[in-house]
Amino acid sequence: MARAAADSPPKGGFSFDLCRRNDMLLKKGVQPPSFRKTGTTIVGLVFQDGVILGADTRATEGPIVADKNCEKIHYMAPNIYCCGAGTAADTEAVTDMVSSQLQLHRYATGRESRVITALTLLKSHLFSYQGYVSAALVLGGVDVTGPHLHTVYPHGSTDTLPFATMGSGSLAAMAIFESKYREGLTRDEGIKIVSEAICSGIFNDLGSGSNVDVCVITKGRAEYLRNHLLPNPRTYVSSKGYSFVKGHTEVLSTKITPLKEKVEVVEGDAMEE
Amino acid sequence: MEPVGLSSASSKDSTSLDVGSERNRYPYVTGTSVLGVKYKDGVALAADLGGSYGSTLRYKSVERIKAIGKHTLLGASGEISDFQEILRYLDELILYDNMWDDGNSLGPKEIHNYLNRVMYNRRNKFNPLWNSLVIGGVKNGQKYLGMVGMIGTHFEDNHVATGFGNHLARPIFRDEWREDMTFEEAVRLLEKCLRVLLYRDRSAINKFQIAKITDEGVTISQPYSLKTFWGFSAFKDPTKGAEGSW
Repeated sequence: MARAAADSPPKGGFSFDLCRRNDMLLKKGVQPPSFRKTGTTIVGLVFQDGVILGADTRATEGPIVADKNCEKIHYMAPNIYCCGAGTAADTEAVTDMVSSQLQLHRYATGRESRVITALTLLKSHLFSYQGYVSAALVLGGVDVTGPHLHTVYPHGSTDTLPFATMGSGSLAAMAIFESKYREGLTRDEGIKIVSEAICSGIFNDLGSGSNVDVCVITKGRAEYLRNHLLPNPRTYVSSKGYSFVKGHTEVLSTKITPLKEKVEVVEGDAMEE
Repeated sequence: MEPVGLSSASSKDSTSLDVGSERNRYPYVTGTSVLGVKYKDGVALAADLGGSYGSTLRYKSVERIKAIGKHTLLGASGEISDFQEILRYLDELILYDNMWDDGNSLGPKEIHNYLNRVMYNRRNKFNPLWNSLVIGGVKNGQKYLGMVGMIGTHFEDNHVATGFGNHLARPIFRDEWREDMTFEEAVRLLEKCLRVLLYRDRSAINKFQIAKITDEGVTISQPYSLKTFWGFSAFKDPTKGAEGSW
């Protein structure tokens, strides 16, 4: 520490030393490691009693589906949940971190967490990393001040919206929302519209697929409906398994070779020197 | 014929045999999405009347859907000047067809094939016509709706969209299009998609035309605008709880 202080006085502000190192490595031909992204459709909407969040369950690594049934709706607080799109590691880490910070805050204040607290913690973390933490989030929850829905972008900006979509399937889902959303939806209508929007992303976007997860948050109660819809079942798998009876495969010829004994067993005392 | 002063540069330009040829690298004045659906009696196309110059909405009365001959409608998105050039080629084509005076007339399938050849040949010379074209028509009771892209990709379908319409309108078409829609239902479906595009495509304007073609002929509507809704309570005071957002 003393040597670093002697080398250069702290200038304050952001330090971009690692950016210079990355540029240098790139010029030398060292490719940066690739990462697993969640090509995704995540949505949220505000209905009359609270907030409904929805997400698909496909995690992709380039063109390959890495996880057919991953969980993109993350727990933040008993009354706040967050959907994450972008790099899977970043969304997991950032939501876990803020979730822990919220819990410590709840112990300190003795009160239920507020959505804007989570929002401020997320946006200040993401801004300080200048967009390198690639997490695009839909944050929703109900607290003492009412239901709230926000989107958070990787560079740290936020929006407060009545309905929101993020991820590669966001346009397909937004088309459904823009044509069907209205204020004062009931719980069932809200779940139906959220499921339709996620299905639109699943069937029209290549980065999204598999199943629909839904989370309904109302005052005092959060219901996480994991795999609420399974619109992509494996239809041609036999549940009994496959049995291969003798006679399934035609036998062309049979040859039996008995194993010859190579060692001669001699009668006598064992270990006779 | 070699242009003076280009000799050293042209020796590096090995892909072009004709040194004086131009290359269309960027579009300048562009039109946004065109939507098309088949319905019970024919085909309906919809597009807005905007021509953007980069990020400025410069022209607000650009008609991007035109009738070709008796049986076809052509809608285009992309570079407007290339669309006008395509209309000139098609004018000549229809003129020669009429001059034959043999009782046959070019239908939508033929126009689609002709445009596909034109677009593909231009792209092979690295000088594409920067458009996505929607061709719709009815001939002898047979409905036809197809699309040609600027690189020569072409296909036929019950509902097509270009540009942003691919992402925003096609999911709605896939859910809600039906074979036996009446014209009113088709217009409602198109308007639904046009409204979503108006909200979410920055180069769309609120001035649309819907064109329909049936066995009886072509009708292109007068420009009109759609009602939009901005009264969500979350829009009224977005930063009430959350400072720093908008």
